[in-house]
Amino acid sequence: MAKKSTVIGHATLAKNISNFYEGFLREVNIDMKKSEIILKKRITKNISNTAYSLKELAWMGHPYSRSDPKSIHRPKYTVHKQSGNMVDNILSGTEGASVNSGGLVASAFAGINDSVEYAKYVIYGTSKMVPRDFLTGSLRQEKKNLKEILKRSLHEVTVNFHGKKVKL
Amino acid sequence: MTTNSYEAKVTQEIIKKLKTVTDVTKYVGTRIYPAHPATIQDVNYPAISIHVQPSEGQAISEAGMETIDMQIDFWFRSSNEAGGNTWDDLYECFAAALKELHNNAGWDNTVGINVLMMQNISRGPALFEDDTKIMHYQSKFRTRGTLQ
Repeated sequence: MAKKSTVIGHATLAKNISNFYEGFLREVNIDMKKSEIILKKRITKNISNTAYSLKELAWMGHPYSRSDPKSIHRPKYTVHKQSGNMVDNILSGTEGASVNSGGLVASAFAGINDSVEYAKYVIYGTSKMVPRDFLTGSLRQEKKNLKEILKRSLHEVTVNFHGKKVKL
Repeated sequence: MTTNSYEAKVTQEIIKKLKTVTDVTKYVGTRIYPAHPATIQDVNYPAISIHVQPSEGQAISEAGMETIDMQIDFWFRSSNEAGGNTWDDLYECFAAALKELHNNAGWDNTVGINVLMMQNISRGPALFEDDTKIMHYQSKFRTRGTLQ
């Protein structure tokens, strides 16, 4: 036989749960924004190399091409800045954190706007030019930092509990 | 990449597997190159190339295991060229390669490698080179394993 029981203070409990979620999601959003900035900075750095001019690259025998392929940079996917079009068209952003069906959904992204058609050829290569996937490379370079940032959301959440800021 | 490195062995293993697939070899024959075409002189098409992704920033050792990403590219001449192919031909070849490689793991004593995991992690975009009339489709596979 089912027993009935009364939960005393359920309104406060519900409010506290709600406060916890708000505080947690706010922290996650802050960290997503930080992640976006870190990714954008790394991508910008990886596609802004100015070590050699076009003339010098030609003199070196076009190191990215079939004629004389050789690795002249570390990391290998470093890209020289020519017109600056790719740097000017870095697209980045975040999607606000939410909890759906018990799962946390949040994201930060950075890439190159589709309008820069030749970016795909730089990333994936052509039959005559070696690929330089600076997007995957940038993400790998920052993976450790991004993990540390996301850990922070779980450690430093502060919630409003009875009018007091409480650190979890 | 040295001949006995994990990268070299896993490339060898992928080439070996692909050479057993009829819907791959009927297009590319034995033209499955262990490097990107831009680094090879006298490449003939259609062809497949296997290129190890630069490992900077990647954790490559975990209890003796190595995890690497391979870019596998499919290069076909456009059907507008003599002896060329269609995008459908290229996709048939890719689908057959995907079926052979995705989740295909195990020991291979003849190559000297133990592949614990091989998974397709991305595919596309489809690219067309106007100057050479070459159709290009790329895919990435992640592999984890050890040398025997």
